[in-house]
Amino acid sequence: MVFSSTVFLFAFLPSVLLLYYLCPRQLRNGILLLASLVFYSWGEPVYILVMLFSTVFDYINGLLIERALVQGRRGRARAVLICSVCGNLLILGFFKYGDFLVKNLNALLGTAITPLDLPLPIGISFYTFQTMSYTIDLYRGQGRAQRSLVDFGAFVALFPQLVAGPIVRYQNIEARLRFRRESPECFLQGAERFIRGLFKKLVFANSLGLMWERISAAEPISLSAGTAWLGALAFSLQIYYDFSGYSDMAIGLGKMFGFDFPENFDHPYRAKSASEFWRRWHMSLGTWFREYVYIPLGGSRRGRGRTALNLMIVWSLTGLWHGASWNFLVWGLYFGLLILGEKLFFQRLLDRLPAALGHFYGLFAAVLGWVIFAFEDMGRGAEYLLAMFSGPLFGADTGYYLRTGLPLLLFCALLSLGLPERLRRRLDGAEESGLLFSARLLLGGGMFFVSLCFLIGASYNPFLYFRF
Amino acid sequence: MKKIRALAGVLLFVLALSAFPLVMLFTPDRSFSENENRYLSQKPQFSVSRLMSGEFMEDMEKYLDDQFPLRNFWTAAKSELLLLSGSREINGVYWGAEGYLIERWAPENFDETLLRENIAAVETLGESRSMPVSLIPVPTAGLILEEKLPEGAPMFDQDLALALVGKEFSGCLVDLREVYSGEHTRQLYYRSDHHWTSYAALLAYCQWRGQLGENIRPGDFYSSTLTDSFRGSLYSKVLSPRCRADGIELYERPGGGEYSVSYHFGKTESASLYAPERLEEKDKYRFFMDGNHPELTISTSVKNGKHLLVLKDSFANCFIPFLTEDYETIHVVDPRYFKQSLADYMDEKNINECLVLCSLQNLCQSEALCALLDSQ
Repeated sequence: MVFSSTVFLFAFLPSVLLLYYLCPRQLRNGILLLASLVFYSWGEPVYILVMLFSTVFDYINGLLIERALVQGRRGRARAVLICSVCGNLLILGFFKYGDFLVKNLNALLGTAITPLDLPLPIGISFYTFQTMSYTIDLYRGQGRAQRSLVDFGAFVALFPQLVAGPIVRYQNIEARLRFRRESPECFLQGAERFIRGLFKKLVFANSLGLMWERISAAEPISLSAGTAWLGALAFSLQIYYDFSGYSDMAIGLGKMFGFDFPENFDHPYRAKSASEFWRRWHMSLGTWFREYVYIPLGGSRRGRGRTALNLMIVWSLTGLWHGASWNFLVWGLYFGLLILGEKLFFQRLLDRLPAALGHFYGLFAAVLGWVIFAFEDMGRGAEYLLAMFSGPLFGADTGYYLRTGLPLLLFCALLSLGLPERLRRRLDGAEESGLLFSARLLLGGGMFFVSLCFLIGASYNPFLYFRF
Repeated sequence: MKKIRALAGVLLFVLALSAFPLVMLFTPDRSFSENENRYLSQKPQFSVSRLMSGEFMEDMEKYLDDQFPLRNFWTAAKSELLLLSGSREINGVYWGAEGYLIERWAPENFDETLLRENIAAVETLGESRSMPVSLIPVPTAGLILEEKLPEGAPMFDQDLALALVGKEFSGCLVDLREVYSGEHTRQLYYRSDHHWTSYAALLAYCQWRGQLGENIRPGDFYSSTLTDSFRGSLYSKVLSPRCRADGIELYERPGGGEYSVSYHFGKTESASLYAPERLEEKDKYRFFMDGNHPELTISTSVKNGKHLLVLKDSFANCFIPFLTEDYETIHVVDPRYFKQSLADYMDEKNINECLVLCSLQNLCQSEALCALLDSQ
């Protein structure tokens, strides 16, 4: 199930809210767990077993680690931890990277192993990372093991962030799992946030996506530079609105149930460098890799050579995390190299440059990155990059895309820079008047209405029997 | 005060979420959407195996989407919002000048091999039975009304396909670009539908007969207006109240000859190629020949020993009635639905001439034609 669907908005969500608020406090984690299991099994019922296994597996591992640590048997705790991490990585590796490995082996060695062609279990990249953070934190002595399987299950399966993050670390949610106080103010904030996310996804991301689909469907060689750039910008904005919209919905839903999930995006296109971009983009993933890979590897404290190696390891993993395909690895390494370059050489230069130039560089780096990201067929991706920097500037269709898409592109670009955010901070600071409250309510209602038009409009598909 | 205010906001949100499902619960389900021309999904059947396979969930989603209250309203509102944002493409349809809706044909959606196969199949048909074959490929409005498209809108260049047809096909080929090039006053395509108008079909007919050596002029026909409230297939995709309705014209010869029609191997007989009752429905184009049929035979009062086979799609529906004074019998076959041996059929009916009349888009994209001809 996805949030931006009729079945979620008008069947699942109202039912769960009703059930949740009718039940006494002690049962609410159980309700959430149950709802999450239904949510999860909606798309691919069988894979719920994988998630349940993952849950029970790390629930037990957590208890074992804590007991070993209490008994002072560090080696034993370490062994359990290794078992937990390997277990998670095996599950992830099998489902997500199995076929990628098989195909490359076949190509490399001329073997003929049949790929399994399994669909990817939903959210597997997210929940395996969440449960790993749990056992690792326990081993490090941060936090205590969860004794209630229901509460732990609710943490792993929690439907708001199950499918596309943010990646919630157990220590950030532990207190709220034990006790949380839902309130109308909090709920309303959550609803507002949810609608904002819904709007971002259904209206902005999907419309930008259509423009990108149109432009990228053409042979890259036939594209003029202008059209290719418009396409790349459309895709860059699409992926931002899509992903951050989803995070907004997750955070909003969390608030409706009394949780506080970490923020996941902070206006990434405001960044003045690749490093800053990644401090603002998918922040929960960046934090995860820093905490559990980069720092344990020694971070940047072991000399330049080691720093470079660590960065490259982290960024190739980050790249591959986004998908089992070579272009994602290249995309990760691309950012790894940029960030390494900035760290070792030109961050100081960037600091001295006028801010506008920094912004230009940051955006440029991000947009080029998205082109690598967008094409799993790397030959096509390379052709597209070439089209952006060669050939005629203006083609016949450039004018068309400018006239029909520029208003949307500009509007989305400006919003992504967060102009209203500054305004909002000032508004938040002010004592909220009745007028302001009504205005916000109206805005939310309007966004909900428009989102609904796009949601229902998308399901509307006339069947024309005239073809033969 | 603040708490009460927030509570009111929450109530509004919950109301917005629950109002629609409640309406759906207490109103009867609709079974058919005339605008979309399809049956709507109904309440899904529940069973454990369908639950385990996920089919139940899939059907549930379709059901909720299809039965959502005021679907047409939301869809129309979406079209208006898109137009407001500057977009000129809705659901695969370009919003053109003067109210023309023009179907998008993406440049990458051109399969040269398939077009070659279709032409070769038609060529072989003529050669193997040594009979004259005529081909009338009807370009889409995107070519003939190119100046009505949003400026620079990406569109497949149909001239490429027509050039290929001209090179590969050796029979009598009608190039409608020339026929239509001088026509600036009359409507050649409907604004709200992908079909050509009766007048455009009449021009094509006169041109074709001219190429066969007969002199027939459009002026020989008189016209009457059947309706002026036709909103066709492209309107269905856009639903904007700003779309303009079309008129449908009928062209007839004074004192047109007698004929009888047998639809679908004689399943129904009729004395007319027109279905006036369809003018009361949404898809008024079905007035012509009552829509599409796998097979139909027209027997006329002409006794000239000419038996014509027409391989066609829906573009031919408003064209075929012009033929009733040219052939003794006319056998109309729609390759999509015709599931028998065409060779046997042709033998049985003593076919000695053939006309292939379909949209250029189908000639380029549909496998039905070459599949039927190659299976002989």
